[in-house]
Amino acid sequence: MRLCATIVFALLSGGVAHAYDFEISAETIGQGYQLRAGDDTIVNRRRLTQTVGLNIYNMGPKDIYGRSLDRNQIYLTLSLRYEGEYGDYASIRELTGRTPQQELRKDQLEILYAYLGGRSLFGFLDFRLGRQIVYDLFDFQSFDGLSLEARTPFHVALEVWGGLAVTGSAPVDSPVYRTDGVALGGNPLGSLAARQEDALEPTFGFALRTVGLSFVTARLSYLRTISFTGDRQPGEPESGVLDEKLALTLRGRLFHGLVVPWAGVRYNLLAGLVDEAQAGVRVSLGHGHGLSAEYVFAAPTFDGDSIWNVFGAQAFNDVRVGWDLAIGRWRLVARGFTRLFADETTSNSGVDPSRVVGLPGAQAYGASAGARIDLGRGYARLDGYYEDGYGGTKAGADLNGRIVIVGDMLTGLVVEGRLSYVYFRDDSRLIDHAHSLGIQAGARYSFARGLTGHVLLEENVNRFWSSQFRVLALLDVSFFLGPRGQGWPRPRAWGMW
Amino acid sequence: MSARVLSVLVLSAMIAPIAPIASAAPPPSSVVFPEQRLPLRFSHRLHLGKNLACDFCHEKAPSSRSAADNLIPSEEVCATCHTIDRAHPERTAKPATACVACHPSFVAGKELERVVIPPPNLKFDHKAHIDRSVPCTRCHGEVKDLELATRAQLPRMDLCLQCHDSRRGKQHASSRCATCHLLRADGTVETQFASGVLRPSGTLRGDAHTLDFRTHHAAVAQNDERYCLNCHRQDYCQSCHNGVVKPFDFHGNDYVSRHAVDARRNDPDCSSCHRGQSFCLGCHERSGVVDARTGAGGAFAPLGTRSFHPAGWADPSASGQPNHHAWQAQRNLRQCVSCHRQETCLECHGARDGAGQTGKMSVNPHPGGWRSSERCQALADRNPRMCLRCHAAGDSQLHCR
Repeated sequence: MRLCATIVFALLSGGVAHAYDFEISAETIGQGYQLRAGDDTIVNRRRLTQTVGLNIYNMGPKDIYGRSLDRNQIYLTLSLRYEGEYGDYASIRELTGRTPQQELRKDQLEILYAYLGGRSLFGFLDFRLGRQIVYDLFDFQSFDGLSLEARTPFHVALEVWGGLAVTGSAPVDSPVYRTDGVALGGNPLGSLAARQEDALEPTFGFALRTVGLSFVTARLSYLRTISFTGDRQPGEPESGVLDEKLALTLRGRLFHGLVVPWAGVRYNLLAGLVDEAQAGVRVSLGHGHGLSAEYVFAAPTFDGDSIWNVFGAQAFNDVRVGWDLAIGRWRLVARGFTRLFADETTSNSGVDPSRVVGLPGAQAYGASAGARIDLGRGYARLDGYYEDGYGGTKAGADLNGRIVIVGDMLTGLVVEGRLSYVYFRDDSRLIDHAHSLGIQAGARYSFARGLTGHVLLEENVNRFWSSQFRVLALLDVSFFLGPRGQGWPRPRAWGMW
Repeated sequence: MSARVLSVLVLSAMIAPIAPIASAAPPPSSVVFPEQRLPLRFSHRLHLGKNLACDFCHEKAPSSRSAADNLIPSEEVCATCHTIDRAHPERTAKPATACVACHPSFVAGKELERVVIPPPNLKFDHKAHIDRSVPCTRCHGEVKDLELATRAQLPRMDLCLQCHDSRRGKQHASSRCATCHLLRADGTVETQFASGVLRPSGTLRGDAHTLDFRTHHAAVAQNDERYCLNCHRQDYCQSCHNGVVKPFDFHGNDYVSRHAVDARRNDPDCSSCHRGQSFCLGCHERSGVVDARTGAGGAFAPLGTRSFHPAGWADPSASGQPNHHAWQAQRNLRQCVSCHRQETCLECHGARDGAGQTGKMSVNPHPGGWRSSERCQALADRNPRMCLRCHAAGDSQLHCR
């Protein structure tokens, strides 16, 4: 093992490393905690996650000082993850006789992303080839294929992409990117869901977006994903559309950024309806001081093979307001929201006579506030929240902080703690209510440049748990190697960071 | 507490602190331009009153290519007019020659308090700007009435963007972040400095990284992912959106016990990180919260002793009653999807057409006016496979009107 590490290090720090920028990383996470099962027994989870990343940047022309030029740069990036489950959570399926969900397999190896990229080729073209993740049309998508972006001199860039969607069916797929609405694993034999589980899903799309305009950014995107019918049954078509959407987003910048309005709408061509819409504005009231208001509309839509697309489900309507202030060592925030739910009349649902069923609470609402003070070698933060209405009640407070004992926030010994209280009550399952008290304590220490350990302990007490203990441990090894000098990547967004 | 009262309280709390703060002029970023120590006495007003050009004193500025260059005039430059004599620091003359005239803390025999101007954390090319005939005052403001120039005379990003707007023209330039900001090896903007963490103020895209921005960033990210990727890499996003460790500021202590309240109202939007038919369903089935065995024991009967749904939930004779599941499904169908497979619904909602379909009761799940709706046509045109899950191929109901 040590020999292998030495060889790898020697290779990476050799002649090639002096031409390119390398980043290698390995993150090991162990977690142990408990869940309460449906029969009130305790299920233990023992998870081990290993993530490995390799990035090679700036494989392109350099200037006379060895610095990478802006144009014609090639890069390679990949991230692999293994997740193992060693508690009795992995074996509970034998007790129930059910087939496990793919997302929760005992052993799971995933290629999160792996692609070769080009930046500013000939001054106007970017590309990515391989497994990639895009966040567009209000959702994540992952596919194996090619994406291209060409920037024109007219403040418009054209993007096109195509490939096979990552569905979770391949052994190295992450199921989180599958369009929701059809379960993988455990489906009845011969059912459409079972037949389509392994079907390839070709996907393609395009987008037009503005480039370099300071007063507005706009993006128009289109996406279509299909699958071919496996083991066709009488009357079934050769293929079906699983996802087809068109989205437009706009964001303005008025009065030198003092007023920033935005709007977005997504039309789901498959379901024949607008399923996402939003509009909002942020007004800057001074340095570090702002107000925001937002309206959000969301209707549920699913994978094209899902029958839930035809159900009489209603959309949400949200109104949200926020206020924030950063002044001196303090950062403050307050938010409020209300979500309106809709009910159909009984006759529209085929149940006579025609009337609106008097369900309590067609509205959910709440507010939260938080404050954080910078203590120089750390910070303390207090949050409080109250939510009520449809769904139930949730009210609580959360006090947490972090302080540097040795060194600085990124490289030294840092300790952290959290104390939280929450009262919750589910309005449909009256048994689900409790006052819950939780405490966390953790420490993060950098043993050497690029080598960091993090341990976090959590204990919870409520009427369901006299003790629920959780432990997390993380070891992060990350290095940059190359002409820009050695260093280590920034800490990942893990835990309270 | 009613929603109305709550709204009034929240709005009052927001508006109250506005007036005294709104008038404060924003200083330049202390992260980009770290705090300086300027133990000097100097009058731009007097010097400019003698019709001196800026580069008479700041002689290196026109040729400077780096923001790290020290452009403060050296003693040698001052000595062009001020006949400084270090051997006689107290000697007075006109123009001033005594050390204390410019160094007010000067005490003979003691070490002089030094000027400290840390290099700014950005790129700046004075020569490029001057070559484009950009006057000094465009970035530094008018200083002819000023005494000592300080950090206040350094530009804010908003000012930069007035020319860096990617428009064509001699005094316009690229609005790319990399034009001014330092980059890491991976091409993202460097945000961690000894002077602090560089965060957006919100005047560019309304994306002020407020205290709770991590949990309320969707509107910005949905607008243009590439904007976020200027500073964040995808593995940063994935550490939460496809992560294996719960983000503690989002899912605090014992979140599993209380997640149902959030899930029932779908706030926050669970689907931004979890798929109902994989993550949620998988865990609920695995832990026995829901029994996925359709037919055996009933689709709504969980394994455990904790009855999940109230009486009348799936009773056809109770349809139209408040406890019936139809109304909850209408309000938030995703809460159903987190526990049930389609087969659960098909037990009752499948069409009863004598063709071996599964629907026991042929309960129509479609909304009113379905067959004449645009939705019916759109779905039938694009994926009739889905229709055939409930209807037989020859079903007379299987057509939109």
